[in-house]
Amino acid sequence: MQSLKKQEKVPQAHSDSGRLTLVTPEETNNLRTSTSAISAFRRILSRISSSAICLYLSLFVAINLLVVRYEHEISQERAHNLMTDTLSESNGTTTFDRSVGEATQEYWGLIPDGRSGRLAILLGMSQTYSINDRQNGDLALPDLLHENLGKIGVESFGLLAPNLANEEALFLFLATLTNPKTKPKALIFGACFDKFRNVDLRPGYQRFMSSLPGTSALWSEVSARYRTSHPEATSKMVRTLQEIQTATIEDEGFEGRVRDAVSRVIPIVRARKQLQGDALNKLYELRNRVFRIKTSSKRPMLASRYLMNKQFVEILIAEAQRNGVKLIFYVNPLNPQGENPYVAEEYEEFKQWMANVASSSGISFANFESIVPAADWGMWLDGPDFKHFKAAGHRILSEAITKRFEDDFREIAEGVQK
Amino acid sequence: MSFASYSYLIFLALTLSLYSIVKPSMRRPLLLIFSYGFYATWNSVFCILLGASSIVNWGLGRVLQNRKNVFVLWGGILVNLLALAYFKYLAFLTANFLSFIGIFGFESSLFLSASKWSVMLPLGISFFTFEGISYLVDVYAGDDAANSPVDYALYVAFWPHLLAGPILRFTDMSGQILRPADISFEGISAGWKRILIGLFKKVILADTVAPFVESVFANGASPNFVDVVAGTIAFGLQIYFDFSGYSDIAIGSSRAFGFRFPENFNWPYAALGMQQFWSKWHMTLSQWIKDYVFGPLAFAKPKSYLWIGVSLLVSMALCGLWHGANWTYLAWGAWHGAFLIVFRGPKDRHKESTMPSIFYWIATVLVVNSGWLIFRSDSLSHAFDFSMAVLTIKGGLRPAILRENAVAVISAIAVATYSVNFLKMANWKTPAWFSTFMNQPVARALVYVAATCAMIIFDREAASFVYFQF
Repeated sequence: MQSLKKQEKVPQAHSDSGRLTLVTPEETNNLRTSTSAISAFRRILSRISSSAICLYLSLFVAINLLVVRYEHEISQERAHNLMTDTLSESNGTTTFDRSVGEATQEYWGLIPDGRSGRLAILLGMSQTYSINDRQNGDLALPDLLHENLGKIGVESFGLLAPNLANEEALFLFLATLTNPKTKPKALIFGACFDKFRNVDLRPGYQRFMSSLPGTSALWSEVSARYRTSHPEATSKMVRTLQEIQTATIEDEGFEGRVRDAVSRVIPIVRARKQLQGDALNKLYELRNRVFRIKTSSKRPMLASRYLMNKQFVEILIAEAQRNGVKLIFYVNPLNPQGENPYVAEEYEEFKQWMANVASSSGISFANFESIVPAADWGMWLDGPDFKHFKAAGHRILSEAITKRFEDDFREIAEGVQK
Repeated sequence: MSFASYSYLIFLALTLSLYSIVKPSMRRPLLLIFSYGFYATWNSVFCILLGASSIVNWGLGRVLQNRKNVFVLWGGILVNLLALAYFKYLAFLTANFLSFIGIFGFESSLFLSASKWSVMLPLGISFFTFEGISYLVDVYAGDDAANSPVDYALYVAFWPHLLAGPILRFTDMSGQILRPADISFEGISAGWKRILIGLFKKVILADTVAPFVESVFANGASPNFVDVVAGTIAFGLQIYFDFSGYSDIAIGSSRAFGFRFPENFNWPYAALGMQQFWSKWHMTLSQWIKDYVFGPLAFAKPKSYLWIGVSLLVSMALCGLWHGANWTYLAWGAWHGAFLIVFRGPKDRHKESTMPSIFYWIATVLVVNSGWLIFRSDSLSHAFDFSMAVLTIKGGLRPAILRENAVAVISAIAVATYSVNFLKMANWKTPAWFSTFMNQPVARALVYVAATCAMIIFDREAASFVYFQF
């Protein structure tokens, strides 16, 4: 057993070997002989004031002062990134989640009462709410739909966010089903091809899911229901839920409260989300510059993600039909003069798939790809914006939706009258 | 309470303040109370297990000091291993037993299903069990046992190393526990710097690549060649930065109290050959395996290369299994064991070698990363599928899961990490101007402030450490 004895021992206590040994024997003895805790503290304070730590603390304070000075600008920058600075002006009636996924819970109560049987929910990405070259009085799609459908007798509300992924669309839809007050009679969904590269729920929706009773249970139930038929998407749903539940424990526990308290005292902690968004945006810009990436640079589909996204859409369709919700699908308009980042064959396959799914499921479908003329699109970064149109484009799309699916909307309104 | 949390920083400051004002005789009880308090923030019930394990091992240690009884030693080892087996391996053993009897036509439904045998894993059990075993063996071999149960309990439960190491020996700690040091400015300063380094590794590096790894290795995912390669490299980076970051925080926290823990990592990705890798990776575990498993096994028989090889393979397989109850961990251990036999690396790098260092280095990186693929997979069939995706170059150069940004981020961190490790391997000396610049208080303060701000801004709300699951 002696052979088990270690040949080399790690540094013993107070030995002067090892890279972290900074205490001189003299200092150690001095400290050891000191019996007074107060004198030890004084000693430490005097060392702090004459060392790099003092500089470190001073710099940290200076950075926090800078954050306080530029907090407003940082918030504006974030609003610009989320495209919320291009929102239509609120004319008294809130027609969509104006936090665009950042604080959906604050807008949830503004959804018209679904128990009337006349509620239509619009799901969509930034195209639906962002107005390119916005002028005073311009209205966006959810405002215009609210007006148009209101004339028919249908109330609408938009659950919109930049880059809304299909997993998020499914989540928002399931969230509306958890309460008769928010359960819609119709769901209008503008499918966007490049969003089939995205997965995950953004932090705002994650927080919302954990705050909304019943949504997690329904999410879990739905993932179990389609486990065999849609394995990729449902596995992702399980992972998303696990992630949210872990995060919820942290947020609601002691650490969450400590974090809140710290953020009230330290400005950089308070502004961390805005700063993170800003920093990531700068990194994207750097990436674009280094790799010469443009908005039109081709972005091929990612096979596994594409499959997962198709499955999310199929689950959305199946759940809508299961719950008696009328589905209205359309393919998003694209700028005819702006070069898009799609690989042509992949995009054609996508449109065909959408049409096939709609026809086999018996849901209302239209391809609005070319309905907005070139003149009604604006500019973005390095050229024509292929995704966001001006106010006129919003009006055209709103009218197209109203007219093309008029029978569906009238059916909803008449169903109530009967 | 995670190390990467505001709660922990407050806990540390509070403990440090109290530690500095209480009488020296009260320091040990204070640290012990706070250590149990720290453990209770994870699961208070398991404090009983930790306490019971400490009392049993302390008692057995006292017995062994007075009477070198081999039955007491083996009894003690067995008690420790049984606790570990019950909490960590019962469900795994049951599932495999049921599968095995299924081969002979027995209906597994006659028994309880394997999931019924799944019990909650007490955090840190793998670590404090190994510390208990090493204590008993060392006392049997002639080391002093702990006089007081408080000393032993503090050695096991001292929070910086309780949940994920470093795995300490009682002899490393006894002197420090018997005479707890005064706090010093240098200790706090050095400790805080080390904590900052650890937090940076965890929050900025490990947590950045973690979601990419998760998406590639997720159940039901069907990755292409690019995904598997990038995901595996990312996992190698994640586990290194996560675990070495944890060790940095542990070493830094203990340093603030005047304790000195052994190092756990020493540039493992700069290793030439597998022997060097294991002398640089999770050093306290590899030393433990060498001293308490490989040594006794290898020297149980007269010198035989075949037997030494078998011992190495068995020791490394057990080392793998220590990480968790899954065949993938066992296979990972065996993978390393096999390469420790066939690819030990240069005996002396300064002597003439048949292979230039760079080839040793590249080969080591390849072997280690291939091992991570096995380690991170959910099952052996999963690992096989992933390996096939690599060997068949599935999907060409197009990823199926990771977006281009993810591949770019992984590549950037990998290139930076491996470049630094390569320079370390090549004994590249830091230029004098850089050293001079970094020795300026202003430069150091700037670096640490930048790191602190980056951690605050990119904090992903304190994700848990990878090594906690082991």
